Amino acid sequence: MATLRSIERTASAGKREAWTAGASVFSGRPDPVWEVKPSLGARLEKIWLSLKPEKIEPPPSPALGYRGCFLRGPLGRQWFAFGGVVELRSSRRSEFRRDPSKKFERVLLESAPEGLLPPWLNE
Amino acid sequence: MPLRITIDIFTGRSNPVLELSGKEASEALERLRPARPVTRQEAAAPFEAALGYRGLLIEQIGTLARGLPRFFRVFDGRLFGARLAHRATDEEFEEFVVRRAGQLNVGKGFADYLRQEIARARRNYAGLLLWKPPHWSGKSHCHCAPLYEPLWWNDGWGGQKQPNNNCYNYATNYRSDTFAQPGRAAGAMYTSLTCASVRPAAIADSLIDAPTANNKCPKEGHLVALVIAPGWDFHWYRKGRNGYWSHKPGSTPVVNIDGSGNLIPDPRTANRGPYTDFCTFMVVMHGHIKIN
Repeated sequence: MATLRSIERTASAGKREAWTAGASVFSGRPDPVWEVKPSLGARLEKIWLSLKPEKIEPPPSPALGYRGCFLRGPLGRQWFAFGGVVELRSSRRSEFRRDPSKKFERVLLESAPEGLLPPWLNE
Repeated sequence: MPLRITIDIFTGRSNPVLELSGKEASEALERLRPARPVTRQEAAAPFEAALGYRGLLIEQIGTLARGLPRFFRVFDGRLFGARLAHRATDEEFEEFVVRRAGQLNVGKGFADYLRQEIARARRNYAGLLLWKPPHWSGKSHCHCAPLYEPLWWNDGWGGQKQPNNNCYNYATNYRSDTFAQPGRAAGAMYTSLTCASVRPAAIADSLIDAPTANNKCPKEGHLVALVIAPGWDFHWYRKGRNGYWSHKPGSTPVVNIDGSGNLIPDPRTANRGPYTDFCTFMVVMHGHIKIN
């Protein structure tokens, strides 16, 4: 039988394990955010692990239009991808890795529900 | 006369601090002894709001060395402090500190990183000395317009203002922390991302439509401009006191440049990326509007 405590624990574990993604793309409207399946989260994490750590910084993004996408994973980890560079931000530090084929960014953006992202992302 | 030297370089982390005493402190003070005053051209103080290396903050503990205040900054071999704008006797004093970076518990490779940062900051500083401020035309001054003060809005991703206020908040100079939407406060929010829908929604918030403003400042209030990425989004600019425009793209920082990195004398001709439709100019009367 589920107790209140166990329900709370399950709920908070579910929250902790949730994967969400989003794109920094709008100015007036809130940016689009969508849920990501744990299997895709794991795939993106695998892609991240295959990238080489480097002392690099992301290229400057334009003021208006597409400025990058993010993935939020369990334990407060957050990846940000733009222009062939992926950054992992955690509460303690940031780490950058080069992704010349933009695989991380592409796979992440492709997971967005149809019609959520504007067409200028592909321009 | 011990010395505390703070390497002013980080933004998120605490700056590393080097403490010198005894012979090392005496040697450092000898190297820091003021030589000739800097010229008027060299007197521009380092840009303290810059990211990256911004100089060494020196604090003298105990008896003060002659000619040096308790606190001063060293940047590019120059000394800046109270009644102090001189070249240091050793203009390579920063290298003296780099050689001692190994004593700091900052991480492997910090000395190399610091050396690179010092070189980069010096190049930027040299550029700053040559920089000439743009000529603001006296005719285009907008005395009632809000000041361009990006640092007030740009409190970072973890802050309260930057992530929760958008282009509409910034353009109207109205912090709501709600990512304000035209018409929402009046119960008349836009229904489509078109000029025909967003314009009346803003009017419902008590902005005044001024399609013939032609980039001229109003006598009262300040000028804003509405542009549309058809079907997807809206964006607002505001005209500043110096006659140039600035904007806040979504939850990102306030900037005063367009998509090509240029200042914005007129949003109609700026690089606006996907916001291809210039909709209208509007006037914001201070205290009259309500947005949410």
